[in-house]
Amino acid sequence: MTKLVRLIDQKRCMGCRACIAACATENHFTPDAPWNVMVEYEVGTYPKVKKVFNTMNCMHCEHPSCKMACDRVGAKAISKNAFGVVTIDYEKCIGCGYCASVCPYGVPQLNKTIAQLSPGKEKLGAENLDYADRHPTHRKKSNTAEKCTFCTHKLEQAVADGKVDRIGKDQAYTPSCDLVCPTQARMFGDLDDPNSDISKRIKETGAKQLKTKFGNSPQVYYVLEEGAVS
Amino acid sequence: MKKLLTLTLLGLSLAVGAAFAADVAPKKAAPKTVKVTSKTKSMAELGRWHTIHKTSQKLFCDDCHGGGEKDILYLRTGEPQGSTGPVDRKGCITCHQAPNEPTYYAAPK
Repeated sequence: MTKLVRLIDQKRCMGCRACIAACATENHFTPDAPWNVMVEYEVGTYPKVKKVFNTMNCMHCEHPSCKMACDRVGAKAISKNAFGVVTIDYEKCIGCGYCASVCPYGVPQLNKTIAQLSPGKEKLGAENLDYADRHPTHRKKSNTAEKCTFCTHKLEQAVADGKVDRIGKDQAYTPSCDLVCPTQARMFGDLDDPNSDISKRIKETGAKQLKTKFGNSPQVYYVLEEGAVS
Repeated sequence: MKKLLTLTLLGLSLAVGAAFAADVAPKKAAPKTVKVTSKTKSMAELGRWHTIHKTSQKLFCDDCHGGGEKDILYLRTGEPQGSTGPVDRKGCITCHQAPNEPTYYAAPK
């Protein structure tokens, strides 16, 4: 089995937001519904204070609250695939907002209006493609829920090319946010492979998941800065 | 005369048979289908979500809203949830964590 996870090292992150810019361009997320957000806060007391940069995107939980709520509603628009990636089918989404209301991380976003990423300027990334030519996760519709997909269009390409082992290594098969980090604070790969770089680094650093009391078992791990909230 | 009698008997038996069949297999009522839409399931203040929490669970606005702003680990930091403030999901696990139904949160490991 392949269980794809992400590791974010708060001790390395300097809050540059390159990951957010890369996601915005790759996935054309709109200001109303960001797929990746930088949460920053301070810890400690003067004179020993630190700034914590905590980028947040979908945690792709093993027990996703959003999927449970969506199934309960009857829309069944949210699914989790064999890699553990949680995605939303825009054609099935009814825009009720239940997923956004139950997610402990506030991840799904109801996109009320589809706007150009840079209004008045040239189109970026997927915006240049015709609607029909886009990957289904990029065929945005107003009043539907959206969120990070672990760049599932790239993962699907890896499967199609028979290069699942290159996920997290090759540019074409790795989520854009993880590619652009200038401090290598982000990593993506297979946790089920004990010899993968990410498995080793999670073990070495003692990386933790956020908000474990909700029982969602998120697939994003954080190397926490001293005093950081988990 | 014989023909007429045979036809009458045949007609009678068909009628009885049909009635008997109707008794044995009563017509099933067509299943009531309700299309799920954002109108039937809604987060609006007077929508299903809020009505259930307000009437069945007897919750007041402040029981859920307010307090959420202290929890900074939200991807969405400025929740547009009315003047009473964002919801802290900690309150949700009281009723919605396994084994409670409807379950939205698994039991913590």
